[in-house]
Amino acid sequence: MKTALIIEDNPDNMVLITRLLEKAGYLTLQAMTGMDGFDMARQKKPDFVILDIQLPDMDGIEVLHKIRDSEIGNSIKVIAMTSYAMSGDREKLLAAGCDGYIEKPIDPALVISQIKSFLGGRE
Amino acid sequence: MLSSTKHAVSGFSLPPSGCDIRLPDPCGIMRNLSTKTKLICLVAFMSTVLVAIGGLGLSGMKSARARLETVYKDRLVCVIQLSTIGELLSDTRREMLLSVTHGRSSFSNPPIQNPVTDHEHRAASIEANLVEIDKTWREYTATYLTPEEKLLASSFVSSYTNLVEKGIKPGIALMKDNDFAGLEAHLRHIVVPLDSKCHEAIHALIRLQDTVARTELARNASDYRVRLTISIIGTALAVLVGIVISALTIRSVTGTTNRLRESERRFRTLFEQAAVGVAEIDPVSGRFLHVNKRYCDIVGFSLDEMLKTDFQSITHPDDLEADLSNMKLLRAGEINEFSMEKRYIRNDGGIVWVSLTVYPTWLWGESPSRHIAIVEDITERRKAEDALRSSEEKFFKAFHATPDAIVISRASDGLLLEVNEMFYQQTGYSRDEALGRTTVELNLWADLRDRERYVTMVREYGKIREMEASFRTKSGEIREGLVSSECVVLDNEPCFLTIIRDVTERKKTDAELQKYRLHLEDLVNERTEKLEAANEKLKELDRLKSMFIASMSHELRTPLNSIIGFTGMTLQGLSGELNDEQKDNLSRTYQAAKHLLSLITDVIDISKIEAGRIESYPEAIPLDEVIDEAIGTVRPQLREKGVGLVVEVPAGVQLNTDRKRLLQCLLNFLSNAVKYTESGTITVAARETDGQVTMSVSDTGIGIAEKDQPKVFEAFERFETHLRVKAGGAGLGLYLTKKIARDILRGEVMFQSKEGEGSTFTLRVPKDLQQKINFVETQDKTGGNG
Repeated sequence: MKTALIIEDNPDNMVLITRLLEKAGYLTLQAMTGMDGFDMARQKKPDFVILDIQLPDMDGIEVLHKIRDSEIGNSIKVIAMTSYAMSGDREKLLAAGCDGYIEKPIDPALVISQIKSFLGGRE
Repeated sequence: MLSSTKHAVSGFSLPPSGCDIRLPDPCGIMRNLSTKTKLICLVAFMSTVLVAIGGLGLSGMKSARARLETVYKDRLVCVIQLSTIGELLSDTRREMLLSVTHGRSSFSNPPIQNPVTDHEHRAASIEANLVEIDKTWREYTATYLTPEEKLLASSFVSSYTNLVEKGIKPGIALMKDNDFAGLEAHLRHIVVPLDSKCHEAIHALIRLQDTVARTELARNASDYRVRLTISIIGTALAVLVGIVISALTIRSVTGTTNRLRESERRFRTLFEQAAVGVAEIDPVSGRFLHVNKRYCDIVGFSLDEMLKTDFQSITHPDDLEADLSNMKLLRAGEINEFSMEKRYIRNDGGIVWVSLTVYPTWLWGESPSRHIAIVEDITERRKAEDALRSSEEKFFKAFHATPDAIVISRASDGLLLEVNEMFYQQTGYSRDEALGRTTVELNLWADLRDRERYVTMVREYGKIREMEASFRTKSGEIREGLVSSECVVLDNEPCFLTIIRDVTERKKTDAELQKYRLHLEDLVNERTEKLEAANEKLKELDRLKSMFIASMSHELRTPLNSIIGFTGMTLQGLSGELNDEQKDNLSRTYQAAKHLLSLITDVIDISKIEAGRIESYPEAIPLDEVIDEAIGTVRPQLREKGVGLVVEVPAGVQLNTDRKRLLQCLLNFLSNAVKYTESGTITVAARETDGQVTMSVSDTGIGIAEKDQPKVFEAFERFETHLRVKAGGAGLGLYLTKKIARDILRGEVMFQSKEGEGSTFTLRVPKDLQQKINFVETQDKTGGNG
């Protein structure tokens, strides 16, 4: 049973993602800010992180950098989730050390298989 | 009668004149001759005296010259004589000395000759010398001696006598005695000292000769000069007087006899051949007494005709009165002569203008005076004058009527000689004020540099054409003028004819026009600036609008994401089973939400592109991969609709462009093709040409009506088709595709379509976005067709 840390400031999206993951059999942790998310990632050591890029306190990419620079390093996967993506976001995120990239709005029919492919693809 | 006598008397007192036509009285000639004779006698006497003086001078000069020669000769002789005496004295002494020498030698040695004979011979020689000296001295003293010379001569005589008596004579005695020792002593002690004294005296005399000669010569030479001068002057005067006498004699003889005839002849010649008409007129009747040829020619009558008529008959009636009154005055002696210009009526009826001069004359002392009339034909002159007058009149009119100011000034000092009416009107200076002054004095030049320019140009080129200059009028107003000037010669004086055109009004008008023109330009510029500012503002507003839409759209998306997410999840049955109606309801909600999302997304994109806030992120992409991804999105729908798919894409083509945007364009084409195709095939083809990649999506769908084709790529255009409601969409897809293709991918979009047969949409982009930047410039193709 894998544990996912969801860092997302929008409660609706948080609920949606949480439910989809739980329905697919994952354990979930929730954080509403970048800082909380980072702290939780260090304490709870989840298997992967679903990271919203637009956060109230800091940019998602900054959180990603913090995680990669911390003792966690590359030990956990990070899948970025952006609202309407700008051209070039994908490249920027992958270059910053993201393992996957999902565009909002998420398609409930596809999202779990997308996540699985990112997780599996790395192993 | 009385006046005639008076004239005659005054005539006699005049010196004789050869060309005088008045002939003098014989009595006058007599008196004249007697005066002349006296004069001749006086002159003859004077000349005789002068000739005598000349002769005297000449002879005196001759004698003076002779005496001069004599003095010179005499003194030369004296010198010779005195020198001879000196020589003889020396000889004597030498003889005595030789005797001593010989005597002594013969005494000590055997004598070669007979000494006695020798001595005697010497003694005789000495005596002969003495005789010679005496003779010469007498000759010398016979000449003229000056007192000083006499004194010296007596001194010589005494010393000589001493020498002879005390020296020579005892010496001769001793010689005869053969007492040589005694002789030697005698010689040394007595003869030699005495002899020396004699010599000194002689030399003094010789020296004196020189002085005497000089004095004599000088005296005689001045005498000679005086006489020579007298002689020359006398001779010259004599010759002169002689000439005068002969001249006077010749004249007095020939002049008196020939004068009358000569005078008459000259008068005739003058009268007949004069270039003017001359006539002798009877002062009372006015008849012509004598008329010369020229007179006849002028009035056109023959000589005979003239002598039968009088001047009144041929005078022009208009001039007769003046002529007659003049004649009357002349007869009365109130005037001595008169001149007038009058007209004669010629024989042929024509009119001749003459200048007439009339004066009275007395021939041979006759008492009734006659009038001499001299006429000159001045018809031509009058004509010329008339012509000139009329020309002057014309010029005068033109001069004053011209609209330009005209000034005639003298070149030498710049004084104004003439100005016209316009000059007064333009400058305010009347003719009287201007004439005789210069333009500088009038203070006419507003800028004296203009005057300098004027002077320089007129000197250099002799003329000026339309030089601009400012002038000050009398009232101080400044006016602008165009100056033209020309050098002309008037009355033999170089002058400038200067024309000044007043262009003040014209300039003012020009300036105003210029002002209006500039003002208009300013106005246009101002408006343009305002418009540009407004345009800027509009652009700014447009940008703000786009930004507003972009951010609004973003805010709209977030709730929409939740709708789509939750409905999607529920539709999947993840929250429990749904019945068919529930499923249908949720499905409609889901589709509507998706549609709304795509609309919002398109609006955001368009707004961003229009606001210029969209950037491109080129990356290396394999062409087939991008196309596969696009096809993958529509594949489920194709399968559902049963529409076939053909893909003709070459492998291995690499692009460097914005992946997301390229995908967006392809998806748009594909989704349109799927939407409007009910059956048949959709073909996706791609090829690489010349650094560009062309991708096309063809379908066998409903196609686009001809009338709708020009609006295919415009915003919010959705055409009336039976598939309209079913296909959905806001009509932004192709508009956005075109914008993306042009503004981001720097490519172009095209399409071909036939209603009922299908459409082909084509996208052409540069293979390398970063290299093919100029592609935008060929965009017209799309715009025109699309």
